[in-house]
Amino acid sequence: MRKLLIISIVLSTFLYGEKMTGKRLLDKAIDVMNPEDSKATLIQTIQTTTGETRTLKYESYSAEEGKYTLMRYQEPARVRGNALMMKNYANDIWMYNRRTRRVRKLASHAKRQNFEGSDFTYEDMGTGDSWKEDYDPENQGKETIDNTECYHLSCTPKENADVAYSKMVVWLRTSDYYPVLIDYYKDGKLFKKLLIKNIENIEGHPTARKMVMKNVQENSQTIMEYEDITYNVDLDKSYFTERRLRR
Amino acid sequence: MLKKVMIFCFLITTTIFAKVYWYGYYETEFDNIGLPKEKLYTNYHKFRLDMDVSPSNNIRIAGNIIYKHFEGATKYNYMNFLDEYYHTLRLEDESPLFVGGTPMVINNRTYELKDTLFFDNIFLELHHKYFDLILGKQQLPTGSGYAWNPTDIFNKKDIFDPTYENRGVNALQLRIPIGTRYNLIGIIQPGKDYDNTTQYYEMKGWLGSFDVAFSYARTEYNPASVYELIGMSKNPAVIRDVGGFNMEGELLGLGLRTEIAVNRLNQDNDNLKYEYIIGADYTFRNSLYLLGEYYHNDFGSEVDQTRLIDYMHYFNYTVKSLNQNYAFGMLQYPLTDLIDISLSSIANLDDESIAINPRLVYRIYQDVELNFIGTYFYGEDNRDEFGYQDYMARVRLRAYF
Repeated sequence: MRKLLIISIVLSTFLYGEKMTGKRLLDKAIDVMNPEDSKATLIQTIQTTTGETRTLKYESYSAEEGKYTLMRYQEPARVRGNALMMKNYANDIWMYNRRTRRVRKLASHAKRQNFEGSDFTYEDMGTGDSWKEDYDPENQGKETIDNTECYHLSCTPKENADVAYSKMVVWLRTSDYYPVLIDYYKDGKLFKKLLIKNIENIEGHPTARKMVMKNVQENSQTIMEYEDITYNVDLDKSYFTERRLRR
Repeated sequence: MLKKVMIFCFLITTTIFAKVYWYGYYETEFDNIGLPKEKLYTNYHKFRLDMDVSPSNNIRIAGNIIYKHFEGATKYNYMNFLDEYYHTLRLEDESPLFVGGTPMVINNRTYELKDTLFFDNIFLELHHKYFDLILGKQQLPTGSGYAWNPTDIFNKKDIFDPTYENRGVNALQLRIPIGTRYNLIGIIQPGKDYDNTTQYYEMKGWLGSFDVAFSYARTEYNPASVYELIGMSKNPAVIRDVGGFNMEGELLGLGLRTEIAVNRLNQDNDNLKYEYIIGADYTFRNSLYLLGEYYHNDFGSEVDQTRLIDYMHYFNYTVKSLNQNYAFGMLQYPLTDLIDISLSSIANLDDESIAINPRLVYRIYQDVELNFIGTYFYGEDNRDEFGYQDYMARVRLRAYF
């Protein structure tokens, strides 16, 4: 009788799959999006509201699943050499200006500003784990996006959470929980869409080589592409110091 | 000639290295200054060429040359910027030119803007496992304040444009990291003798949500050039010890900063001079940025006792403010992805005059920025700090390469 019960449980798990709560889905998405450490060169192409394009190129170092990040601009000439260091999921931010050689500690509200005029805020780029603390995720079932089966995850801010968006809707691939589309809402209206494209397996980690952030209200968009990326580069928090920021 | 040879050697020696980065910018600025009796128009062209080379991971040589050419009104008379009340020296302690009870009137003290070519920065940086050493003419920013930096003994800051780059300082800087959170910094700015040599030491660390720094500086406070303007040829130099404290970080979501300098002149503990700022900033969800700072400076004059010498000290930056109590406020907002607007104000709380600065920054192209900067001065009395001058308008174009 006991054996029969165990077999029934195992069988039903196979037949109906693991019950995925919104929280579990969000945990898995954050895990898969934030490998232990990485080093990358990124190019951001900004299509401005006037239809012109601006290009930013920067190198990025990340450790402890996105808890620590250091970004240094390579282009354009206007900001070349300037750098930004974020710790504790962008709650502690330092900015380095190469021309004046000044390091400034910024309060976390600075992450609400746009990243060099792009459609990404610093918050969009460095929050990582904080989604778990700030949002209540709810699994809305499965949907197909661009011929890919996805979980539809709706994230609403927790009470008193100080967040940028009134709602986020995330579509995650059922195969590996990697997001393919994120809708950001402000005051109940769709504000931005992040289209996640060219997902490749690099060194065992699914990696979106291209992301397009569309600001649907201002009609601008920013394309972020990896020129190169490598994982397991053996970075730890001791790398993220003011000394490193200045070099 | 010597300068040209130096520049030539600088260019040749740096290009022999394998990978030299050359960059810089061209800047032109048109200024219109409105005074009660005249309007001044000045224009400058500035060309800055930077080089940066790292022969190895632990060595870096960097520097920049600036050429600046002025046009328009290049000769300024300081006295035209001051109400006539300040043209008359009334007290004997103000100047030896005041003799026998006869007030001395000064109507002409000129300053000329001359074309210049100079190395703004040129330094060698050595990185070792346990320290970083920077030798040469370099940027030495200290202090956490935005508009004023009481603990900064190296730089002159333009209150109407506080983020504009500073001139390089000839110095030797040693930075020793202690763990991942702390840095011990020592700076020596050599002078002709020990008394004339500036020393600066700082212990900086990261505590909770704050960057905290304690500093000590010893420098010579020598405003001789200022006294010369009113006929005092010799003024003994004063040794100035500065104890400093800096803090910037976040409390309850608000950015907070404070900077305190305790100045002791000629080791006189009974007459300490205090300077400090307290400031806060905040970014709203719509990207509107607010910043406010209060500044107190014991070196500034009492409002009813302001004299010409106090203005001369201020114009020559031997003091950081004319009077003692000021407030700075700024609102900044990205109007579009290409245009930022801001409105800042500097209020002299002692004479209750104010300068209001609207600013628009338009990023015309990726590396081209156009700045429109205005200043409107208001004070009830012409003798107030911001009460005499009418306005100032600047248009600045900068193209990076």
